[in-house]
Amino acid sequence: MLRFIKIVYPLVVIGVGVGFLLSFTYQSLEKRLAESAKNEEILALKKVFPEAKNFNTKEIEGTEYYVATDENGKEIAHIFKTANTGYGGPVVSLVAITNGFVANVVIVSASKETPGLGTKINDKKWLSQFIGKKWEEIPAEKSEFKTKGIDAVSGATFSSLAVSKDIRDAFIIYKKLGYIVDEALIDSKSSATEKKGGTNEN
Amino acid sequence: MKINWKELTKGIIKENPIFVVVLGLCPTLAVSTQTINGIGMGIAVIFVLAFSNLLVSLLRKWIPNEVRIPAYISIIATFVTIVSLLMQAFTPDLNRALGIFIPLIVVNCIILGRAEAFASKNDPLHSVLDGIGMGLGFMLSLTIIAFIREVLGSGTITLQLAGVGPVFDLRKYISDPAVVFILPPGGFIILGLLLAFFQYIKNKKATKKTEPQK
Repeated sequence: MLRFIKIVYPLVVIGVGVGFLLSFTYQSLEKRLAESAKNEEILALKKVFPEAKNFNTKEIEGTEYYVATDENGKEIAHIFKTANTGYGGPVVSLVAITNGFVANVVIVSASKETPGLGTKINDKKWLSQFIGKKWEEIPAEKSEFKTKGIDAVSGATFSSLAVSKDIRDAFIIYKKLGYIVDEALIDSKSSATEKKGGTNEN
Repeated sequence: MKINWKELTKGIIKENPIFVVVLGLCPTLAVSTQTINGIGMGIAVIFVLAFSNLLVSLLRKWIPNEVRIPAYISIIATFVTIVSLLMQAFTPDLNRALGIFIPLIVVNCIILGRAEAFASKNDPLHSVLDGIGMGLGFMLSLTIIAFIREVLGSGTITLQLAGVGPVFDLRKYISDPAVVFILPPGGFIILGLLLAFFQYIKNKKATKKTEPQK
């Protein structure tokens, strides 16, 4: 028994010691971490709609969204944060919608997509083909990329589809706000395909 | 006490953790798609290696042999968590790029290997030197692999960190980059060729000295 304690007590001491070290590090960085997270959020919002002066956070049915206003306080865009599963994990986008048209799309996080392939959805040129589209023109499934005339990133259809679905989801929230009166949008959601199987390459 | 600087320099070429010892290939292949990722991951590994080696070396006489591995792992995990918190706080861009690979440093064989093979038998000063040297070797190899893969695979050289720094576009000269080099197979191909290259140099040196190899 004594031998057992002799062996184990250094582990306990190390555990407690590193615990203190970690809590100290976290505490001294806490402010900076929160700031960094907030900065990231604002930076992303600014990226998706640079013309706006202010971003107000609002909520509908438990979903947060942002209203971008100009210097006179006039609403100029609605920004939605949506997520869909891509190839390896969630693809989170910010979608700005003005008067029922896509004003801009920015990918917030696609860290589980294949580097150099799926991550090409971050490409501004690729994302720009969604700008100015109505919800009917956004592909809801793989086959619709061709029929709706939008190019998927070659070799990364699932990642591309996730972005496309993000935009559609944004329109669905936008509709809840009462800006679009079209039942077909909600119906099309039910046909959304489920997550692709298979494992990540890492 | 005399400082043996060989402990610092040996990790860079002679005992390079990637090309010679061939350890820790998982993060190597996974993150080496952009040049900056190699540098960033390398800095993170240098930090973790130096501090974990220091602590392991300081505690080497006090940690019982039976529980040394869990003790090392807790020490390493602590420093990895600190690195990850620092990255989140100060370089969110890099944090986004390296994402899941930072926590994976915990189980990176290089770090546990150096703790076990070197730090647990040597004094703190040389252990830190060893850690920094091995980390530099790791960073260097990773940057070389990432550089080649990025140039061939995307036709760019990214040195951009936290929005600062240049991104060189070589697509004028390389009109059709071969995407395969960004994908895992390309990583293996490049790594294999580099391993062969280093082995060739090593063999040549060995025959020159007419010493038996190893």
